[in-house]
Amino acid sequence: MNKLIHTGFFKEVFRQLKVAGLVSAGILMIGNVSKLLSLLTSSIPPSVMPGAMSLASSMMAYVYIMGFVLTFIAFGWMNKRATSDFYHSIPVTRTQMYFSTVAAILLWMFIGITAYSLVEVLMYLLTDSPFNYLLYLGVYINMLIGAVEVVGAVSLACAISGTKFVNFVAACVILFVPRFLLTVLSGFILVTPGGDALYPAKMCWLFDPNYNIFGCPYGFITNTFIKGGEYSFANVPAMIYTLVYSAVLVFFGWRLFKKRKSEAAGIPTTNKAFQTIIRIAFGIPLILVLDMLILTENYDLRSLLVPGVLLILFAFVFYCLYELISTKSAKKMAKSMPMFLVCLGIGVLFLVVPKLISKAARSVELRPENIKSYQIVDESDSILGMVDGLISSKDYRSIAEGEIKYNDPEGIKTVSDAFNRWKRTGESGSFPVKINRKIGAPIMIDLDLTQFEFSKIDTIRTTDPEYQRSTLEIPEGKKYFVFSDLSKAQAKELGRIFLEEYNSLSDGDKAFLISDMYNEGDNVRVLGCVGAKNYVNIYELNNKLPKTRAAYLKAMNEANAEKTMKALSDICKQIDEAGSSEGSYPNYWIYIGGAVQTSFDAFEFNYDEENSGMTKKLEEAVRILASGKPDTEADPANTVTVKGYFYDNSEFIRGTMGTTSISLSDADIERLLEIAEEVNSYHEGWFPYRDDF
Amino acid sequence: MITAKDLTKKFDSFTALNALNCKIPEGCIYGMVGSNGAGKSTLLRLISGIYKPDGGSIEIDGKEVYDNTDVKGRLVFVPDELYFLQRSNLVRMAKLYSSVYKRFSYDRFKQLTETFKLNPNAMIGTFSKGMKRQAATILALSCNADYILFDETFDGLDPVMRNLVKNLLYNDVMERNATAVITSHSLRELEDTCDQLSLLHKGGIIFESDVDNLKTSLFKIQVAFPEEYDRSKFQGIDILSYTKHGSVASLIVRGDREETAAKVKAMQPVLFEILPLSLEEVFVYEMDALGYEFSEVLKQEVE
Repeated sequence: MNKLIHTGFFKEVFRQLKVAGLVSAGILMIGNVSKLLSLLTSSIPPSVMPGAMSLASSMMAYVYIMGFVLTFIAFGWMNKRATSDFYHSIPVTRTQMYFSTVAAILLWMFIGITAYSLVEVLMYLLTDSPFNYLLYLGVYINMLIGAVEVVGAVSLACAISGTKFVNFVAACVILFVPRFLLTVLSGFILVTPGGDALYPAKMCWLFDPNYNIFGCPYGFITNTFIKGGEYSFANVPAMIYTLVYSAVLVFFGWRLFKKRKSEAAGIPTTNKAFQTIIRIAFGIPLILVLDMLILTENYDLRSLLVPGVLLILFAFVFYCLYELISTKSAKKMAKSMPMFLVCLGIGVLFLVVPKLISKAARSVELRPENIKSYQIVDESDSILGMVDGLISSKDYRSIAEGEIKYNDPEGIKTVSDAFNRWKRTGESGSFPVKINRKIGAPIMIDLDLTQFEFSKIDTIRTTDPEYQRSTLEIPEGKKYFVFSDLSKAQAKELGRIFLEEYNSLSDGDKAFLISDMYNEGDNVRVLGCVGAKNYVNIYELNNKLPKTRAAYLKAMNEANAEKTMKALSDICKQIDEAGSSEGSYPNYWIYIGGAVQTSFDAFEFNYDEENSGMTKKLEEAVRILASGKPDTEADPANTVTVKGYFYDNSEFIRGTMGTTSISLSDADIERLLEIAEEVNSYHEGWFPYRDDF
Repeated sequence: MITAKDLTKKFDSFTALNALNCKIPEGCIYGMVGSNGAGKSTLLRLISGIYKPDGGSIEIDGKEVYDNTDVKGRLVFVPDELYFLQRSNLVRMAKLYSSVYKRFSYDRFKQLTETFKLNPNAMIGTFSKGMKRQAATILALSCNADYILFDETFDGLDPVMRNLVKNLLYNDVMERNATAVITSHSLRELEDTCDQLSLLHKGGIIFESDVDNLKTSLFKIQVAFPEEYDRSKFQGIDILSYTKHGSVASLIVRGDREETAAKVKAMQPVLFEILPLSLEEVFVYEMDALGYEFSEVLKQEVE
């Protein structure tokens, strides 16, 4: 250890970074403060399970910014002759100096990340808010590894350059150019016939942090057919990959730091190879544009002759200009010219490799007897990954289904046929399937199924007991319940009642409750996690759950009755004041539903120009509702639930009606039903609609 | 002992040191003089392990210096361009030094700050050039290093402070048997400080000698004879320079003073006088004897 770390020097660097380390950690904490305030002050519980990106975004920014800043501060002495001489004169070996410095930087970053993470975990723990601790552990570990990667890259840049500007450029080149090239390559694969079905190409987006920030090239290295979506923050192989990649950067940083001479301070680039790399980087973009043209023009080289020659010429000019400007030597520029061939070589490589990958993929022999099983994986996985923080994640079924391995001969044959069709035509589809072969790596591909094939597979999956279980089951483990407008305590109690009642239902009744409606109707969202994956299941609170619904309506009336009755009364008032003249009418949307029993069909109506012929009827309906009494204890047959909005003429919401139970007289109920029928027939059955429970 | 063998250092196409050889014994103050670009600073940086030699070797007590913490822990280097941490005071700098130099003594540090009358808590950024050099000297001497390397030692120091630094160096050499290697482009500066002196020119040591020996082994004789005479009269005496005005001849002689005096007196001169030479004059004649033009070798000095 003493050969790598010099305790005294480590402490010294740590001291030198104290201000930057503390200030940056403090700034990072500001994000926590705002989260904490919103968790503490909000009376309604959070309606989503925080996703990886929302948890990681602040820390990721911290890792990038402070990785650069702290490394530049700690290694800044390398850029000045006087400071460089001083540090090289002290009795610390270069190896110790490098590793002690890197360790001090990383310790500060680890402190910042750990402090932030601990506060965040405590915050969610103490407020009992939805939180996936395992996912967060993954995010946390990723950030630590990411810090090593960024510090490794920046320290490597400092070792090969001698001015702040070139340090920065070099660090960006090291961190981003390989990813940029992979992104371009994946783009090229996607435009190659058949390539758009391949998942590795889809995962390598430069700005998709899920796959790119720390672990992008993983899929490329390990397997052509690999599912991109697995490379999220909690993926252990991806973490190991990133750690190894980071270790490689640190290793090269150390080797080049060791080799670096003190007299390199102030000299832009100390390394001829690096100068060549930058020069080539200047020449490549236009060559890649030409590649793209060739690929999209489908190899019609004649039409590309003129633009092609021009692009190569301009690329050559950029290449030479960089050399001329950076070295200020026409002789050196002339000497460097032959290396332009490397740019052309890379251009050719970028044309050939996508074709080879696509060809390799399509050369795979796949017959039913080679297939062990197949899995259907939700294709929205990668998309949801990106909006994870916004709308949480998939439902439990989608997660569980991804794990189900179907091995029925009919399904296997269908998958095999579709795969072989893709081999012939190169046409991809939208059915994501993972094919587990008896020999060889699994194949992850978007297949193009015919309607008949799709129906066949769909029948197989929906009759599969595992699939059915995943559809109806609410997994074990900590769950959070979200009922709109209800407080955390109310939601917790109602959730308990719901769970008890739900678990006592038959499978048929359970299936009747599953909903995918986030905002409409009365429903409960169940948030939870399976391992590091979040799920959100939505269930309708209908008459299959009488206990839950009764308790729910009671709580809702307590929360909403006053506001709802006021909104209804305001509508009536505006109707009175405006008379019946067109254009001055209140605009409203009201959803009327049944209470506990199906005594009243749900329907909704609003007033707008479409309904002008029904104005009086709609007025009457509102007046009936406004004359009712908020009551959850009344006879269900005489109770309706109301929810909706009341707008002014400019569409601004003036009043809201959260779900409220209103009891009405028998006559009023009858009249409401008649109005519903009349409005319904006026609009030839399409508006307002009747939605049978 | 510091030993340089065929030491070569190049910066691109410029050869700063070209197969330089020298030995610096323990317990002495070794001065290096030379004009800008002669290679003094480069040699010091090679001795202190900042630079890696491109050829040859530099060893301290038989051990390579470069990237050798055992050796580097025994030496401290004060460069011409000083380095202090930003917004730091002497106490903070002492912390830095003490974290890497095992022999750093806070007692000595305290004693030296009092001797130099520097406030250890004052920001170094507010110090004058001379005070900064004093600060660097305090820090270096507090390291209790066996080898103390000073580049342009007295740059910015007033005469009082120069003497103080010289005395401190003497003490270290006398009491701890430390070795000080100091450079200057001013010969006069080093004349009364060093035990040994070397003259660097174009990346090589062209002249190296013990100062006392230098001063005693070279002397000037003024002599006159009643008869007509020329240089051939002084056969057996090592004459570096001979000039004659009228009947009086001036000779710069290398050799034993007593022995030479006896030889000349035996010739029964009408005038005989032995005069001491300044170090600069010694250098002029030695350079001349080696075929160098002194003014070229020490441009600054002459200018």
